[in-house]
Amino acid sequence: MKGYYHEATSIANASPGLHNVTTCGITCKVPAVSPAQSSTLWQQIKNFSTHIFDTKDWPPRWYCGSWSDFHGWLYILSDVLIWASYFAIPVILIIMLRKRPDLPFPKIVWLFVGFIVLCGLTHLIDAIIFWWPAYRLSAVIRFLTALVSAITVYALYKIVPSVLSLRSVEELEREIESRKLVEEKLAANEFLLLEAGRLGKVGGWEFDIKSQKVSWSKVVYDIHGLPHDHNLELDGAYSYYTPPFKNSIKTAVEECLNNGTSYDLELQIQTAGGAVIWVRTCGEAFYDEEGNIAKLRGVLMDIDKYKINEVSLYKSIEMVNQNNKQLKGFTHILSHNIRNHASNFALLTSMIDTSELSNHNAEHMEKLRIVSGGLNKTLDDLKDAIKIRESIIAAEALSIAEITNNVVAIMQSEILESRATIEKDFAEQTILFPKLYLESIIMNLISNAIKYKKADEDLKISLKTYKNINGQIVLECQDNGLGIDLQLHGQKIFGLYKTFHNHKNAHGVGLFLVKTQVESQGGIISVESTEGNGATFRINFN
Amino acid sequence: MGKIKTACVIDDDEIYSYSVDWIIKTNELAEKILFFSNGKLAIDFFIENLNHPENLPDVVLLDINMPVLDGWQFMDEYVKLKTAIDKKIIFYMVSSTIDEDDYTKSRMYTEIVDFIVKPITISALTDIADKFE
Repeated sequence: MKGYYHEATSIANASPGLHNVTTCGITCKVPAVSPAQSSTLWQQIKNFSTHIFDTKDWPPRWYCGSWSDFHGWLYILSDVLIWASYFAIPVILIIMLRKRPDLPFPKIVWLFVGFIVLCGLTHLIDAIIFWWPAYRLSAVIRFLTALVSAITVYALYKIVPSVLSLRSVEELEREIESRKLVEEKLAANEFLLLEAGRLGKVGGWEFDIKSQKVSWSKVVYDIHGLPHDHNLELDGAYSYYTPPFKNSIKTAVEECLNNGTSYDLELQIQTAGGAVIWVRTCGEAFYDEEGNIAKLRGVLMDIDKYKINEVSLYKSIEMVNQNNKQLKGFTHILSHNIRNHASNFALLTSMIDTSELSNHNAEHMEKLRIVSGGLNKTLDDLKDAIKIRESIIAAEALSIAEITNNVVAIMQSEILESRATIEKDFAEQTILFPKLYLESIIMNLISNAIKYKKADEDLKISLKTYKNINGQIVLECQDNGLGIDLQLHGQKIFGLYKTFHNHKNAHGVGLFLVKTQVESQGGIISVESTEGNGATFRINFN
Repeated sequence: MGKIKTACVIDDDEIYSYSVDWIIKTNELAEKILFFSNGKLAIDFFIENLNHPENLPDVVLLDINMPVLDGWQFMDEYVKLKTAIDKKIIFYMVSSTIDEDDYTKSRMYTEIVDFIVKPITISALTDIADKFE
C-alpha cells in the first residue's frame, strides 16, 4: 500500500495546489479539484457542514505523500502521546478543583481544562487522519480550539489585576505576624475582662435552643459555689433559685424564649454551699439569619452585698415612714383629746355673764379666760413642736413571761371582775423591745379583750410567742370576745378614736397606741376576726 | 337678726353640745335644735324623715371624730340620700382637728359651706344664723 504512494511522491511535490489534498496529485483516487472548491462561499459552508464526517474527498494520510514507516509512526505516536498528556492534565486539574474548592480563579482553570482537552483532540485527530481522513471534523475541532484559546487569553487578561493583587507569601507572613500581636492584645484584654468579672462577680451565660445546651463562664460557677467542671445537665433549669423567685425567673425566661423580651431581675439563689444570696440576672434573645430566636445570652451578677444594704436601707425608710405616721397620730391626740377639752373650756368661759357675778368672781372669771386663752395658745405651739420632733426609745432584751406577769398583777381586779382566764404559751422567751412599750402593748391587748368580751360568756385570752417561717418572733393574743367586722372596719381598726361598738368604755386609743409602739420598733401588727367569733392580734417583731 | 328654723348638732362631745344648745337658746338663733351623738343616729333620723322634709334641719354642725359613723362616713351616706330630700341643707364641719387632710377633704363636698376649728364662738354661731332671714 505504502509503496504505491512512495512512487507518487515526486508528482505530489510538484503539484502547485493550495490544499494538502491537491498535493496528492494524480495518483490520489480523488479528483485534484472537487466541485465544492469551485462553488460560492455559501455553498462551500453548506457543503462543509453537511459532510463533517465525510472522508471521500481525501485519501488517508498514509497515502498522501511519501511517508517512511519511521516518519509516519514518529508523527502518529508523538501525536497520541501529546493527546494522552493533554488529557491527563485536565483530569489532574479537575481532581484538584474538586478537592480544593477554595482555589483561586476556578473559572480560568475550567477554561484551561477545555482548552487543553481541545488541543489534545487536534493532535488525536491528526494521528487518526493517517487512516481516517476526516479533515472537516479536524477543522471543526481546530476551530473550537481556536475559539476556546482566544476566550482563555481574554479571560487571563481580565484577571491579571486580581492576580497581581494577590498577596505574596511575604505579605501573608507579615500579616500573620501582626495578627499574632493583635491576638496577644486580645488575650491580655480577655484576661483583664475575666479578672474584672471575677472581682466584680459578673459572669456570662448562654443557652443554645437547638442543642438545649447551657454554658456558663467561670464566674457564674463561682457565684453558684460550683466547681468549673460541674455537669449542668444534671441540674434542673431553675434549681438554684429559691422558691419565691423560681416562678419569676421561669416566666421571664419563657417570655424571652417566646417573644424575645429581654429581662433584668434581682433574685435570690441558694448556692451549692447552701448560702442564700442576691443576684442580678439579665437575659437577651439572639436571632439567627431567618429571624428566629436561636440563643439566649445574659449576665449573672452577685449583688448580695449591695442588695442587703438596699434592703436594710428600705427597712429604715419604712421605719421612718412609720415614725411619721406615729407623729401624725400624736397630732391627732393633741387635736382631739386635749384641744377638745381646752376648746370646751374656752367656750364655757365665754358663755359666763360676768355682770351677774360679784366683783371678786368676775375678776376670777376674767383670769380663767386668760388661762383658757393661754392653754389654747400653748397647745397650738405644742402642735407645731410635736409635728417635727420624734422620740427614740431604746430596746432591751425582755422576758415576755415576766412582763406578762407584771401586767396581769397590775390588772388583777379587772381580770377577776370579768372572770377572764389567761393562757400563756411562750415558745420564744426573750423579746428585744422597749420595756415601757411591751408592757403597754400587753396591757392594751388584755384590756381590749376585756372591754369587748361577750356578756354571756367567760373570757378566755391566749397569749403565745413563736417564730414564724421568716424567723421573726411573733406575739399572738387570741380571745373569744365579740370580734370585729373587718370587712367594714378593717382599714381603720388601728386608727385613733376608732370605736366599733357603742360601748361606754370604748375610747379608740388602745389599739392605736399598740400599733404606734409596734411600728416605732419596725414591727407589724395584724388582726384576724369575724364578728361574734373573737379576735386574734398578731405582732411580728422585727 | 336672722333665725334658723331647725339647727342640728352631730357631735359626741357633751360639753360642746350643751354649750351650743345654751348659746342658740340664749341668743334665739334657732326655733328648734336636734342633737345626735354620732353619725349613725343622725343618718337614721334623716332616713326616717325622707318624706317629711319639714322635720329635717336647715343647718348641720358636723363633728369629724365620732364613734360608729364618723363625720365623713355620715357625709358619704347623706350624699346618697340627697336627691331624695326635698330641702336644701347646709353643713358646717366643726372640729378640733389640726390635720390638713381634713381641711382638704371638706372642700370636696359641695354641701359643706365652711370648716370651723373648735373652739366655736358665739359670734361664729350668730354669723351662721344671720345668713337666714
